[in-house]
Amino acid sequence: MEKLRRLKYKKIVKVGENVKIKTLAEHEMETGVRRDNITGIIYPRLIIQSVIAKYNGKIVFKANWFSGVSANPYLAFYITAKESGLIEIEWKDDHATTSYKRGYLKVINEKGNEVLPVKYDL
Amino acid sequence: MEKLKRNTLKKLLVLLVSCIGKVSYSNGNPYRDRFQSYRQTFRIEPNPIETERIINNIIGEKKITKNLVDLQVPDTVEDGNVVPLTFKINCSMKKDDYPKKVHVLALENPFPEVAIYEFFPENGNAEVSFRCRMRTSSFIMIIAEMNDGRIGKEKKYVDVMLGACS
Amino acid sequence: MIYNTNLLNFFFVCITSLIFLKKYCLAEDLISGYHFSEPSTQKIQDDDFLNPGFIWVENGELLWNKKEQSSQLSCKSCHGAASEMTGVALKYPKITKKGNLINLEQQINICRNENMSAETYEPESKNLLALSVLLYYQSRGLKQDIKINEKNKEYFNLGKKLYFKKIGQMGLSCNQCHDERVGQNLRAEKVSQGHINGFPSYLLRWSKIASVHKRIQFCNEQARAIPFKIFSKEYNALQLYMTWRGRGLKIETPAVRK
Repeated sequence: MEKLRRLKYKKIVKVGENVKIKTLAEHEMETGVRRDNITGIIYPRLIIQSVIAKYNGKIVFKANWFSGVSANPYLAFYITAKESGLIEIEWKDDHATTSYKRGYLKVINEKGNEVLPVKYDL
Repeated sequence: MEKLKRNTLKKLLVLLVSCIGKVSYSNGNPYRDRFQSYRQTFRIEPNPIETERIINNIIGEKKITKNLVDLQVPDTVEDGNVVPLTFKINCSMKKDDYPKKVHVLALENPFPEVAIYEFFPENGNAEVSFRCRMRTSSFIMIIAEMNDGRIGKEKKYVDVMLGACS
Repeated sequence: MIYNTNLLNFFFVCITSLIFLKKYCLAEDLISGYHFSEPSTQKIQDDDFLNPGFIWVENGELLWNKKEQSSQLSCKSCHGAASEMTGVALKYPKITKKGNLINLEQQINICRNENMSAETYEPESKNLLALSVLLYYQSRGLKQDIKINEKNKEYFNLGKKLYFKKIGQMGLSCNQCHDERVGQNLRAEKVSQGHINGFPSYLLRWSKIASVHKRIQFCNEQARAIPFKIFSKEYNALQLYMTWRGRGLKIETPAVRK
């Protein structure tokens, strides 16, 4: 079964607000120092190396992790809302396998209209 | 006469072997850094000298600014596998005042470096919370590298009831 | 004036000792394992997003709706949505028609084998625990109440006997720690009352969900006794007794414990 990824944030925000983005990934985060009880073989290291957050295609946050991060890692950070758009989180493994989770952030201005990234002059 | 010859030959051989052995065993390179970025599959005991070296590598000769980092860690944790940790860098997050890299270190872990976070001006608030592992009760250290060369440093002691590395 | 302060002191001591007695010494007052853990652990359980046990809940939801290839049936096609299973988990461990006692995980396997003609899950496997957590999660906040009647009386007595039986190299019984030494320190741990209202719960020491039977096995190993097998008759009986012992406590699954 595919590993689960969770992403949560406030869906509708005002311009200039700091949005807290919470993520949770399902992963064993094998440290590479743990032994099998019966055979004594050390399990090879397998961790999530990096988490990259993109907002409308631009990298806004980056985390590089080592073996000291706990299993099923949780991560929360902030971004400033400028315009509506796509929030994309990418988890990268030791085996270089990547998994994504995406979400849409709706940003409204003081009048209550949505602020779109592309402006049409009609 | 025979015995003397044999003995001297033996001694010569031992000397030769020991010389060659010494050369091949210690080449003086820091082996740990090479494996930090690679998949390590062996046990390593924590080494305070190595930790010191890593911290010196990050800070170098830059000046340390006070009150730059806020660190929130519980005083006691039940299990070293899950240590909830929140830190905040006190800055305006404008184009000329934001943290470039923030290092999180657990000083008595076999691999002291826990995480490196990279921030951008779009973040708005340089606050991150996550969970880390700790081997024993020890200090957690946050080192923030600002984009203008300042350094922020903060450390706090955490009591761990049950270590993580077992 | 001096007399007055003495009286006040006396009352103060009385009240504090009463509170202490109420909190720790009286076994009739049930305290969930939640109150024995550190604030940092409680905080993880309080927030549904911080709690890693919800990974199992979400995986369970996926499995609940997944159709098996052999019979084109899913759990949903008979039972409806998972949210309709409120209160079902409270009835377990339960007596079957044949007369033996089974818990919820065994029932899932029986259901899969007989009705869906699918392969059964291994004990302690991820999929089985995910379904079990999902079902217990539906009755979160409800109170444990299990009825002892003619049918399960025999197993109840067996469970009670096991609870008070001294076992292992150390010669310890369950009640010596979880009734008589509640609130004291056992090396780095605080001894709780040993209720199972949070199970299957996320254990920090293994960083995964563990079932009641696995936790009792671990407890037995700590007392240097040879543990029974998971799903054995003895553990089911013990689970029945422990559920009865904690009647009135609210279900907290997926709880976070040490």
